[in-house]
Amino acid sequence: MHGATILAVTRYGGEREIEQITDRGTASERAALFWRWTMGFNATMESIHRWAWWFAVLCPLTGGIGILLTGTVVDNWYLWAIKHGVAPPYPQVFTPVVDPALLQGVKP
Amino acid sequence: MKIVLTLLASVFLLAGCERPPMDSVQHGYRGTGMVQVYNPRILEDQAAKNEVPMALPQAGNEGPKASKLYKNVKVLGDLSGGQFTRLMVSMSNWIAPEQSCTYCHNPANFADDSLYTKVVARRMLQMTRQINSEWQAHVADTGVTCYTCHRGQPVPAQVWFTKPDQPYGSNFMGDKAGQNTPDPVVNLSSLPNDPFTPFLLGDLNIRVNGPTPLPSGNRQSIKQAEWTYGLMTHMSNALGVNCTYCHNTRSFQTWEGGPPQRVKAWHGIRMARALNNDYMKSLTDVFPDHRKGELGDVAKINCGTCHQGAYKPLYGVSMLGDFPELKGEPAAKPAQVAKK
Repeated sequence: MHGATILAVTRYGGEREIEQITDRGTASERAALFWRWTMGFNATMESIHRWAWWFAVLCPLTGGIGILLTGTVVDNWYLWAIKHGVAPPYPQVFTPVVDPALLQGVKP
Repeated sequence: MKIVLTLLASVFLLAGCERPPMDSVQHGYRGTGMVQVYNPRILEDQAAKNEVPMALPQAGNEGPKASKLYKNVKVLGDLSGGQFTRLMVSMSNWIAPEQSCTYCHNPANFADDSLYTKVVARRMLQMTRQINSEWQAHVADTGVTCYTCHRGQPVPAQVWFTKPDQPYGSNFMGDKAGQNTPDPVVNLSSLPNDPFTPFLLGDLNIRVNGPTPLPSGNRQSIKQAEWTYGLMTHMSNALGVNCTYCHNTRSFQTWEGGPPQRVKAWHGIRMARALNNDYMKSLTDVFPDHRKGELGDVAKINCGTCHQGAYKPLYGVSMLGDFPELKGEPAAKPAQVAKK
């Protein structure tokens, strides 16, 4: 996210972001404006970086927790979500079918 | 100059993509992503390839039977002389339009079994009859004829052979299991590129999801899931449909609330497996080496053999009404006739 933002404002001198950070009308300000549009207009240069830092830290952590839980605590997330009312029921639109493996008299 | 180079680079990068616009057809509940995406340009090409050939005028079943008229008729003996000749001519139009009768028959003596193609053709007739009588769970009343797979070619366009084991190399990489070797079978993906040997010849477990919310002893691994995905990618390619043609987006595993097409496909997998084991494998000694695969195995059947990119072969047009001779019981036990 950082790299792409700086590259996107290269033509305004984005590589000097630190020197420009408090100045108006600079590449840094343009980059900051972009992130204010995406994240909300109260975002500042510092709050955006704090957000991105925690995003980067929490992504592998939550992903790792998911990997550790799957197969140990929960085996099938769909059935788990049905069991706990997370996944909503949808109207039946197709002719109901039954798993043919459960029927007697079909070829295995 | 820069612009030209940029344009050239983008043309090169996009060369493998299909150009928009695509048609998207919803067939499930709104907002659940149950859609089929079709490329109208590919469909146009396909429609031309899936036209049904004209059938010769029907012959009556009066008169002496083919078993009395001709020598060495082992499968079609119950047909009248007219029906028999009509089917033979149709078969040569469907399978060997260039080579005609002599592709299978010795011109000096049509009753002679010296050409391997005749032995194979006889076995294939039994197979066709068995599909039409015993596999209606998959082919319904539409049924199949020789043309369903052959389409004017002696060998159907899509057949498969078992792939030889890959070298282990330095043993550092372990068993690649056919992965990361782009193959049209799995749509050039990194999935195992021979999903047929385990599933359409063997009967390994295709289902990999756990059947219960909490762990209850499901030992299927990611590796096994990749084999399953390899087979599913082939099915999607072979039928020209997306996953959601058979599967419910919210859970590919669950049958509840899913499209009924999946039941047909389930029977189709069993049908291909049974035909490969009961019919194709028994012809191993009949086929000459140049018709066999690297490991000396016969050409075998997968979904693409009949479907050839269409959701139903020939878009569901039945040729069986014009050829009721291809219905009915397989006359003799297959194994007896397979021998030369």
